[in-house]
Amino acid sequence: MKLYVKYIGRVSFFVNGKAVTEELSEKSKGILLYMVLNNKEYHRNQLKQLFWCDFSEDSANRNLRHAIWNIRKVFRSVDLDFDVLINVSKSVIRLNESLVIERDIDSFERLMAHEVISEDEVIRCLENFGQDFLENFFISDSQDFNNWVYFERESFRRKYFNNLLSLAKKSMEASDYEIALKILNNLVLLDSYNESLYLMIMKLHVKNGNKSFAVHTYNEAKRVLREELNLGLSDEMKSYYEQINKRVKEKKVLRKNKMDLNFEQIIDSNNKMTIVITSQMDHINKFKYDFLSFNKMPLIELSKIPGRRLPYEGVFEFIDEYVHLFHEDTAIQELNRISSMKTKHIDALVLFNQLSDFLKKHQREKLIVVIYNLAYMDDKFIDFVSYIYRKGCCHHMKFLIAYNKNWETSRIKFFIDAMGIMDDINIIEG
Amino acid sequence: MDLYLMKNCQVIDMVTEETQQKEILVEKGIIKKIEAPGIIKCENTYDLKGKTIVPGFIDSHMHLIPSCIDQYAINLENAKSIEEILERIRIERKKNPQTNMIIGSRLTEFSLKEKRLPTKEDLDQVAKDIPVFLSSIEFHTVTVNSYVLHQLNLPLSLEKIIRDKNNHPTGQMVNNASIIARKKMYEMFSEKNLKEAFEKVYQNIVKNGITSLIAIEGGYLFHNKHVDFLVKNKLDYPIDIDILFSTTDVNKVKVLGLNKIGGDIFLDGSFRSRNAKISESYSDAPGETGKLFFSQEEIEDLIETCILENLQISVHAVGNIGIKTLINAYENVYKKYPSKEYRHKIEHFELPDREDIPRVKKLGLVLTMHPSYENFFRGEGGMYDQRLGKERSLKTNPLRQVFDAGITVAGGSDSHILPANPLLGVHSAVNHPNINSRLTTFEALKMYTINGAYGNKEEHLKGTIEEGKLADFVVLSDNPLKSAPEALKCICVEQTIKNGKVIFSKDEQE
Repeated sequence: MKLYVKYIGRVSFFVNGKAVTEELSEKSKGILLYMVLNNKEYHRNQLKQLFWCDFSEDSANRNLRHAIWNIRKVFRSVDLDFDVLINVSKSVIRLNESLVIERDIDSFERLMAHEVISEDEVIRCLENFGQDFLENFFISDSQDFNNWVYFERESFRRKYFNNLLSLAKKSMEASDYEIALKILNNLVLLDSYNESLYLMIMKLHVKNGNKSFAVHTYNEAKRVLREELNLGLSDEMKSYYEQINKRVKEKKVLRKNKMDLNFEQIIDSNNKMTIVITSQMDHINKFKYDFLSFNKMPLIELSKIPGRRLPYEGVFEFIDEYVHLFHEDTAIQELNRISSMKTKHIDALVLFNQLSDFLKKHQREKLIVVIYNLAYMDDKFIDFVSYIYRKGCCHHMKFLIAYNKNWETSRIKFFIDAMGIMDDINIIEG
Repeated sequence: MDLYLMKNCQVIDMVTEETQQKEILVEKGIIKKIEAPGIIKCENTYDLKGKTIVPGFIDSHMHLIPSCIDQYAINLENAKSIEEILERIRIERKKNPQTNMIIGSRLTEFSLKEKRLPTKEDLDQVAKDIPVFLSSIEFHTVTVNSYVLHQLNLPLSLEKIIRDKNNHPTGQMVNNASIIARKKMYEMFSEKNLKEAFEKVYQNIVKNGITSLIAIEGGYLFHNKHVDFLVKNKLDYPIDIDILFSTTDVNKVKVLGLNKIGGDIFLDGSFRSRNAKISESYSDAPGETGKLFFSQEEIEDLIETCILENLQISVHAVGNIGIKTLINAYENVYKKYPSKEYRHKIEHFELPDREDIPRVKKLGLVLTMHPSYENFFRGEGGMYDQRLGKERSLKTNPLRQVFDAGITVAGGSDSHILPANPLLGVHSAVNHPNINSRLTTFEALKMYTINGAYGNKEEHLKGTIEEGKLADFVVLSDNPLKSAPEALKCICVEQTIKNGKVIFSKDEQE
């Protein structure tokens, strides 16, 4: 006979794979939960105290007998001959030793004991164990049992938190930033006032080259603590933020001096995707001239024809231009397949993912993308540029973007503000 | 009646200090004309039988939703023992068997014979199956029963749950944990109950002559869903309810289309909780001088953001250091963005240093003060006396000094802490226990009329009885300008008229 007990989230019981939760009374469930967790011998008085402390002796005895009968009945409904509760003596009971017990919390322990945990396992762990221990399980007239639940719930949460935290730290050390971020973002949901979590997330974003996300995290921590508890952030958080901000401020000063930024600097600046945003068409023309006189690097020109693009039109305009750079049939076919999505219902994530995979797979040495007027491009196109920048999959692409300040939309403003603090993005103010 | 003539009334128009025999023509809720008796001809007349009228009262600082929730709360201020508390809960449940939640307020262990707060085990004796929340008078302690405790899900880093010797939670929570518990209480309070309570509170408001109020809602001590509730429901009531959202999240305020922010953005705390920031120790807690919840830089950042977003901001400052910090912040930000148009505010202003009063005037700040504090917190052994000591408590709420400095001071009740009763505020200001801080009756009335309107940028619509303004009036049983100061508390509101319509009449109520 096999019993599976789910302690995390909504309580449930399975006997030989059959769901029996609904067949058990609340107190029968409580007794099973309590006995299964420690699996030892229990004095009946102990159980009476736990569940019927306010009842008379007679009434407590009667209720305990009924609960035990209920538990036995449920197991016998699966196997008529199986007695799940053994009377060790008149007043002591225990679970049948031949009962094979499986508990979801054991899988957690086993997982945490692994030396290395894969990304899939982490995701599964967050999904399966992120909920509360014995969620909403409360028996109103069983004070001692409720105290026990509260105590166990707290211990599990603490164990879950500490284990996951050390897993996040390990992932950070192994430069596995995505996993570490997933874990920490999950822990923040559990402990939203814990500044040290926010600080770790900020550091991760910075290491990952996403300073704008680090700033966003800082602002979120600041908002939550102020709004919920009227607290300011610690000096440590502020000073780390200042460090990031200082670089941003230095960069802002640099921007002023970057009027003479030349094409070579952009091309050779680093091995990352680069974006130059300017409100001065002269700069774009200068870069384009530099480009033409420099060498024969491929060039894509977008938004040459005026008119605001419809949602996703800008992305497909990019694909249509990009396809001309290829001669290999397979690449062309692949791009055409992606382009055919325009006739279907478009899922942004699917489209962006497929396109960024293609760009990564067919990376060229360098590719210049000139956008003559960002205001002509639709918001989805801006989302796409932002997406491939975040994914870090298009190191070969150098965007030269012009925008007209008079036509600045809130999406463009947000894009420029957010991108403006990244090291590899140059905003040249006109 | 769209058009009618109010006659036979003694008008205190709040423009001059005189009482005038005038007739007022009201058309579609607006004061069309004011003349001496007999000049205006109109078929429809409304005879006020010689009563005195003043402009509709404006309460510039009220916690409207907490006042509603208080309607449901058992006031435990005078409870003498834990058994008495439990008995009152039993009675409440017996009286209202359908009740799905017990809220107790103003609990203090000092007045209980056990000298301790009840535990969850105590509360479970009388309520195992519904939530129970007992809140202390200064909100810093909340006691809950097991039912609530199991639903709280307190974040791990909050360590302010009191435990017994077996390490079991007692149900008592202090500081940050108590804030989370209170939020849970607000979440559990149903919208249906809130609507019913709102009706009762509304009746009390208009009974006291209030035609406009500023509801200070949301923020860390209360719940942001209250703001949503008010946005949704305030137009169902004929009085003007302006919302002051006590958040620092400017975007939230902008999204709701509000043009002001704050109210109880707590730069410091309160004297009762000993966290109002003062320069010298509390008299009953040597070494404690309170707390600033914002650094100088943080409060300046917030003010700057609000100025850039074109929001009127008001900030809570009580102790002299809290007030000084706030004035410094306004001063520094105004230097960066000079303008004569600003009308930002300081709420409470209970214990300013005298040298800071002229600075408030210079900056054009508006104050919202609460004269009724003097009525409730002062006196031998009173809260001010205990916390601040005799000498220092003589300096609280210096109304005379701020008026003399030429500062605009609006009046607020701070309901639900104190009653929403402007006439009580007038009485308290005129009879201030410190003779040197007393106002004249006219000045005190200004706090709840024209100054309130000015603080809310509505002086073109409200606050005086003048042609073109809203026909918001309070009809009083006696003329306050002709009453002896000590008799002011005997004056009562006979009628409240909003936009020309009678929304409260004592006769009808009787």
